[in-house]
Amino acid sequence: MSKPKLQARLASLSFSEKIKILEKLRDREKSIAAAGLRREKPDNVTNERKAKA
Amino acid sequence: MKAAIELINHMQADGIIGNYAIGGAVGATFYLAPAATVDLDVFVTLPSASGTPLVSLSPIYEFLKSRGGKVQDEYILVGDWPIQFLLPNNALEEEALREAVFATVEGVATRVMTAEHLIAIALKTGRAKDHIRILQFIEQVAYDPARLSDIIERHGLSAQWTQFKNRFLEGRNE
Repeated sequence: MSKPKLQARLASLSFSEKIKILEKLRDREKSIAAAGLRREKPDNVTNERKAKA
Repeated sequence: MKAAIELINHMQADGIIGNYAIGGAVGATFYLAPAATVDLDVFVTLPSASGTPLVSLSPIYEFLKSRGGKVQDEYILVGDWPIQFLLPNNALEEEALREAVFATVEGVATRVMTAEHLIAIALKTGRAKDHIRILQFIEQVAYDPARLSDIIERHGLSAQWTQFKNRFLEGRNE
């Protein structure tokens, strides 16, 4: 399946289904960070908070 | 997420918050293919804020802490989701909160900012990740261009929009 088609298919899912995918993506990010495969992003998070504040 | 939204609705029913709307990456997910995010941005109004110069989010934190929420800096962890509560700090965010649309997550009602307001706020915020999100809206044709133009013009973002288009969309059709 092409990327645009896949994106369209994912975009057409219900909000509930998309949230479940978001949760899986988030958990995967956490696992990667916990395994030390990717540096966790304290600086980015801090900057983000400052930007939002 | 469902548990977090149920608690937020509970806070609203108890009068701790007034109106609320989901923004940020989770809000964008209502319109787009899901993209990884680590937190939930919730814009709120506080009923007690009217007419008083000082506002505090502490009633929200106290409510959620009493129901198992854990404070982590400016986030509060509800279930697995770090939530950041934000007060609208300009006319654009106030309008976005006011005009948010209804949605449901696993049968629980909630409100999400419109696609056009999410784009305009991202444009105003202007970080790299905001630009990426705008491009996702454009690539996935997930907004109303006329409505976005109206918002951009009314909120004084025309110069930023032109700059964004020149930088990222030059040579392609929107």
